[in-house]
Amino acid sequence: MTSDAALLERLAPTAGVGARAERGRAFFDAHGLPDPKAEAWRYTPVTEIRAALEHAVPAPCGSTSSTVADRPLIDALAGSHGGPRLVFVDGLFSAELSDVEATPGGLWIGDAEALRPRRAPGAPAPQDEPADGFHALNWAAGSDVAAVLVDADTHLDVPVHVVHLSTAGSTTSAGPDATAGADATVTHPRTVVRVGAGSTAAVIESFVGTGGPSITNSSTRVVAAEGATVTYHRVMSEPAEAIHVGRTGIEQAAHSRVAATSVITDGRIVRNAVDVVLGGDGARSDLSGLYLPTDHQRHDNVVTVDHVASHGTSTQRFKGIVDDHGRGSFSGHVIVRHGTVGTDAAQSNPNLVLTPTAQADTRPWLEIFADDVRCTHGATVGRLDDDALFYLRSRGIPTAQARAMLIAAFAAEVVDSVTPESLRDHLSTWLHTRTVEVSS
Amino acid sequence: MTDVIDGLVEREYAFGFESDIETERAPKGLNEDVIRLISAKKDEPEWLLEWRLAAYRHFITMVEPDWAKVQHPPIDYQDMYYWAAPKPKGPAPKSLDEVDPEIRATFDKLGISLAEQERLTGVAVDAIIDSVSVATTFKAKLAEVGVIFCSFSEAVREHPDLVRKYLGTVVPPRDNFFAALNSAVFTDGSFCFIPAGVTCPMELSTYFRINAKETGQFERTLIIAEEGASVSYLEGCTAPMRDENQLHAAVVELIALDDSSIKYSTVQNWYPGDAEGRGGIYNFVTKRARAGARAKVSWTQVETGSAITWKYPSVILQGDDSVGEFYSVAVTTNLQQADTGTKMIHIGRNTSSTIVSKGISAGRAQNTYRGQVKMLRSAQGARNHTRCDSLLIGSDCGAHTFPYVEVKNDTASVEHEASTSKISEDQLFYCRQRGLNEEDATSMIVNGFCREVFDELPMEYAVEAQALMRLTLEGAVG
Amino acid sequence: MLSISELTAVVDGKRILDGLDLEIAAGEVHAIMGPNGAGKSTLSNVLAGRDGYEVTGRVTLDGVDLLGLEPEQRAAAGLFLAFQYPTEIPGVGNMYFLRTALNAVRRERGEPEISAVEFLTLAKENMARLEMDPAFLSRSVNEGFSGGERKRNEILQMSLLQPRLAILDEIDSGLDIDALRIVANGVESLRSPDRAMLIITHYPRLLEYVRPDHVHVLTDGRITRSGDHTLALELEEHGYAPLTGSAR
Repeated sequence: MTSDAALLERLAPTAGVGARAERGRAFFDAHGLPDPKAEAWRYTPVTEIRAALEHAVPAPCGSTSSTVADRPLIDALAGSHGGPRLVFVDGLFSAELSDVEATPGGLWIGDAEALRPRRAPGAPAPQDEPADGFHALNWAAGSDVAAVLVDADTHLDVPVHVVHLSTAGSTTSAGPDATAGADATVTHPRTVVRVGAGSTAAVIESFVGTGGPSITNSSTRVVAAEGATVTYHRVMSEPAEAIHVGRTGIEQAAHSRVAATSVITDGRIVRNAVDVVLGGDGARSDLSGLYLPTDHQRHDNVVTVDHVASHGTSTQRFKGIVDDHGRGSFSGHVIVRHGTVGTDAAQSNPNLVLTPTAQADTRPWLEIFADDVRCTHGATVGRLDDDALFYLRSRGIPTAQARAMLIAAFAAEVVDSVTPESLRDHLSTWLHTRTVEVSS
Repeated sequence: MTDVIDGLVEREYAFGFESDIETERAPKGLNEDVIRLISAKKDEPEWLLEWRLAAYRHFITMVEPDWAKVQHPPIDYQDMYYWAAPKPKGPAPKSLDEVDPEIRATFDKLGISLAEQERLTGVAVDAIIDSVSVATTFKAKLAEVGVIFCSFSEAVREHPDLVRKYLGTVVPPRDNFFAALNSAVFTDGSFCFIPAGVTCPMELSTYFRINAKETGQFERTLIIAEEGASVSYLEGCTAPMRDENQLHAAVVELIALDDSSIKYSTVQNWYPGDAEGRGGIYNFVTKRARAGARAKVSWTQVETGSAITWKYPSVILQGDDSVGEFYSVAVTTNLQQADTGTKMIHIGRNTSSTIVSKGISAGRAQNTYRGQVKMLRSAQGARNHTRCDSLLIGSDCGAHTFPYVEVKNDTASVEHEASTSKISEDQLFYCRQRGLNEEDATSMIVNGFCREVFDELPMEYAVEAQALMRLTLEGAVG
Repeated sequence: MLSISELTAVVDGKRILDGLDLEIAAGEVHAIMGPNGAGKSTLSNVLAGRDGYEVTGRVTLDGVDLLGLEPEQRAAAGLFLAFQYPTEIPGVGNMYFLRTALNAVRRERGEPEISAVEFLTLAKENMARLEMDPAFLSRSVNEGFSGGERKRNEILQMSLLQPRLAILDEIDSGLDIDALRIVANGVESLRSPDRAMLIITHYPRLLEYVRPDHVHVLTDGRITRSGDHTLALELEEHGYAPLTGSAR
């Protein structure tokens, strides 16, 4: 087994300039990758990911243009949502594939370089710590940043689309260190969304690939200032061989509202961690998710909502559909801190198990240190409702189609609440295809 | 409301007296010699000594678990006594009349009058002080139908084959840190054997009392219900008020063979420590049952005592169509900590389990439900329903719910629901508008909250449990 | 018997009651009517002592200052509130609850407690009058009760507790015509020269069954009109619109 230090050298060899990269490196030096036995990593196969990382190579540097990526491909994989678009290919910003020209007033998007003039001189160095070893690695790698900055009192009526395309396995120039065979390339995408006080904004972040064994270690930070309303959709649809360890950190000031949806449509191992801190009075967080592992896929959702301030409201609604030998997991954690009042938190995680060999795990957790709360959670695991299936069949609908209808109905609650319509349509099309697949 | 909370925090422990019973003890500390001494004192066969020593040798390689949401200073396992017994005043008592009057007085004070029990209540009692069983009532009557109910030590002497056949089959000596410790040093406990087809004609009950200072209590209970047998068993526990923490690490094994039924009820009221968190029992207990085909095991617990409670009465649902139930009320006040729940491991087909947990947290206490439901691939058609509710009284306490659900087949169904809230202002106001004072209203609402669990207790203990809850909340006066 | 003067109530900075005055003598039945949001339920909550209101003014019952008392002390002083939405209390048996409440009030009044057997006889008599199934006694308080069952349960409690002043908050809401008749008969049977009643209602319908001595109209937090029972008929015909702020 490769040591953590060697892993770091291998995956983040020279990059990592700047204070944040230093913090990431220091954290990784101290802690390394997470302990596979740690509770938060119980359902993420850390050992398997580590093994893949040991054979992985960093994504190629320097080639800002890709021979395989063009606009129609991006549209097909990630959908087209009519607003500004930032495209990163294998971790690098692609100006020619992005649409950053016609940005409305008050919105600033681009990579770190493009937004350098926006940075206040003498801005304080970051004080936060990485959440875990993968997060630290993301920082240490010091990849290009996708930045979406919204001024105060700005109301955007089109969504900003951030696309991360992985062309691993389909590129021929995997770098001088590349060994033959199925060695994966690793990227460490980092996205920052900051929405100013009183503003309204929507961001769609798509992770897509053209095939091959890629490893994506992503980190997204969403900061909602006082009274901001933010919609954030995360669609993880890398190819079936891909590994994705993702973390979304959401920080909310007083009276802000953030609605975040995560959909995992594919990927061999996908971890979707969402950490929300309700730091200001009266903030509201609505999280939802959908995951459908099939084959031998592992999809793990680890969601924490921390009610640090009073009068917070949070909802979590994650739905799992597990097929074939797939294993889908949900660990939801609501924390209500001592001294807060007026907290309202609800958690739900219904699961559908489609085959005798699939597996669903659910851990809806509540950790409450204050009494003025109303917290509920519910989780179910079961198969399709026999009565409903029979009812549909008795009306002449063939079994496979009836199953597809019921599975789609189960998932619809999450997909139907997605806006904008273009994304909802994109997901509905995918859902339709998938439900037909899993029902036959 | 503040008054009620203050009252809750200031409640007094009613069983905190200490009896002046002369005690005989093994030397302080834990080593092979102490284990040999315990075994020798009890005149045990060689196999059992070897069993203990093997457990001990494994124990010293283990580390104390740290995953529970409880905090305590490190326990010095060498700084306590592992065996204490009331010193016999002459030969062993032949009947209740010959039991040491001080011991009888102790149980009278606890409301477990051994003599009266025998005459009136029709419940067979095994009374255990510190490490030793001091009296078992109704033995003769039970023997008529073939039921064996005696102290564990007696079972080792009189029924060694049964003990050897079943001991450690549900909770192996290496199962966990505290189970290994118990296996090495357990001193006494209760043994019940219900032969095939027999319905035990009365409730069986064990009353545990810690009396001696600086002494750990490590009892071992083994209940076997043969095919088609049925039994209802209750345990109660108390201890004196002391500034020190005392360790209680028990192991309970239930073997429910095909078509049998075991109902196991606990009213746990070990000394919880004072308002500042000084003293109190560390209650680290392993309780587990194995259910055969169509067997039913039901755990009911009312946990009001102990400084720390760490226990997860579990059922391995091995046989097809077996049923597991867990009904729990856990109350914590002051600085008490409870991390309790259950495990339902579904192996057989069409197995079903029900979990109902009610947690009440007041003062600065931390109350955690931790429960696992596992549906293995073989558990076709298995079902679980879990309901866990927490009630918070006061803004400085905590209530935590940590379920773990793993389902490995598509025919199983699991439903889990939970809620956490403070006592409803609407309910309080409604009661008070009808003339109830705040304390009575609180007590009434809390008892209502726990009703579903109390209903599972045998009648006379349901009354006792409600009285205990009331007592717990009675400090509210003032 | 009940004397209210200059009563104001503020909740979250909003003034709901705004200098309300009202006198009710023993034996009288008063009705307070008013449009939604006029402060009718606030009045009943404030009189019964519910938390969450900033209250000023003066309220006495038989000369006793009510505003300084806890809810249970007001109950002992003889105030009874029939709730618009009676609260569910899961796990608490109805009979146990009723007897505990009755004995708490009796203790306060220096009367002896009533035994379970006596209570049962008393409860069954009263339940028969309200056409209630005795099975109600073994169910949890209001849990799973229909709207009509809840309201009858309120009247049952009132008949057992024998209050000096009964406040009936929208006791007619959600009742069909049969249930309304039963509830109204229950109320009518509790009319007595020693007892005052304050009926709070949105619709005049109830007042056809229980004829009030006085009718008051509550708008914008104070009583804007008073009259006899014919005022209710007038309201039925013309609605509240001519009386509300918009018409002033």
